[in-house]
Amino acid sequence: MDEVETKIFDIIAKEARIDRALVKSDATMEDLKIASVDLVQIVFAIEVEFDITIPEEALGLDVKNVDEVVVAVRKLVNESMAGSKAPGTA
Amino acid sequence: MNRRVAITGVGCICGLGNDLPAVWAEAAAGRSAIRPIENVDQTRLIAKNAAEVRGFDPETRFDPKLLGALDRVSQFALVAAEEAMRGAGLAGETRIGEMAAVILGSGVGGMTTLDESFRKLYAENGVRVHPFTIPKLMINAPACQITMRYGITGPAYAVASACSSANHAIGTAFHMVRQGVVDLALTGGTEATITLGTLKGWEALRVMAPDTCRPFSAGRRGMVLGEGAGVFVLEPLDHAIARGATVLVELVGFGMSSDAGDLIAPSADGAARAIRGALRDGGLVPTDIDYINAHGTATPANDPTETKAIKAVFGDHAAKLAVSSTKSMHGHALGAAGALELAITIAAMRAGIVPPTANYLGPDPACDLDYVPNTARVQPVRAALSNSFAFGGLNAVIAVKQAPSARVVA
Repeated sequence: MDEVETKIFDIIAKEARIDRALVKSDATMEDLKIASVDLVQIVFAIEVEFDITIPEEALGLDVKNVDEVVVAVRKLVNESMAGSKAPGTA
Repeated sequence: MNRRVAITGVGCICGLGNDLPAVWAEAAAGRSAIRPIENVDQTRLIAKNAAEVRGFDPETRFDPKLLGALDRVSQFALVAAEEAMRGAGLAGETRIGEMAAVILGSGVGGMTTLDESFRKLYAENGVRVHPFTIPKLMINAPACQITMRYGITGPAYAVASACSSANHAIGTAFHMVRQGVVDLALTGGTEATITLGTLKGWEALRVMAPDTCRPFSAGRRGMVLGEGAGVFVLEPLDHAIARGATVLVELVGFGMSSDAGDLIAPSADGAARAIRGALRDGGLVPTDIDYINAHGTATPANDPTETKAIKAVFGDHAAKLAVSSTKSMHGHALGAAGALELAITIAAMRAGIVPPTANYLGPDPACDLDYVPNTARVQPVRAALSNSFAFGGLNAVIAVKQAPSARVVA
């Protein structure tokens, strides 16, 4: 588990107020009883934590499971880092 | 259908205290809650005093998950609603249903949320605000939170008419219960606007006192802000009696008017029309009234105008009225003002004690009624009015009478 994944799991557990041990890659939002309103808060907390902006097309409210969140965020974080290393190339 | 309407529950939170017994103890003692502001940095303020709610810890009052969606304005409303429902013997209800309403006044809604969010954007160059910014700041949020808490599925909405918001809400709910639209209503007002942005806005109008609030008094310098909420349980009198609820007072009249004149300057004619309207609606004559909880903001303009309006309506009886402005103690709570003042009026009628106008220094020739200066007075109150007059020229007056049983006893 890398740092991105760990932080996202922490955020999901904290924002949705669920046991951290229940948060797994293949757990669906339904499994975790995460309503869309919780997801909105999770996305907000992720944006603040990683200092990224998550467009709706990258991570919509129809997200299925925890791994989808991690994949989307990792991509944005990588883009963001690449962008800051080589401005104008992102 | 024209049913008699009882008030069977009252909840109140403001600078004077966090429930009605605490608020009333202070008001009856004539103690003012106006003090140096703690929740906003005073260095940029000219008017540095307000009547803030103190000793209120939301963390201990609300579930953390709920609290994230509650602006201070909703927190106050829920606390006051809880006290009112407890008093009415309905605190355990969570599915009250569609024959109940929630009509709640607020001048501006979630100002704390608005102030914090915009500061992030404008001052801190932030790129995002919290996702609950809108649902927290909307003016109807407090009303909606109460519907969800008690499962009230009938009419529910917010009323916004600046400083008359609470009285307009209470009056509207009263008419709904009286006409049989609903069998129960939670109504009142809530406000939490002691923020830097709001305080600077009020300062700019040059109506704020730099010291304290001295309604109807010589040496008055203007208003001082307060905050809080008052919530009432209204139901048909016969329902209340049938279920053995304590009828605190009977709500009998509601009068409203619009000046259609100036956006800020008050009109004695407009105020008088609303007062007359409340008497007429309640089947009252001027000599029935013993006490008026005045709008009494302590601005140079309001107090002589309100005095003139009272004299126009009451004639010779005006001199016999006890008239006090409890804003001298809990400050001007804007959209919650009428609710705080009705709560105190009800406590006064129950106790047979008229609360004073605190901070009174001496008579002003333009304000020549009996303002119960500085010290409460033991005096039975058969019926009372509570006045609210708002910017925009919107006037709303509530009339209450002693509960029927209390009248028999008296």
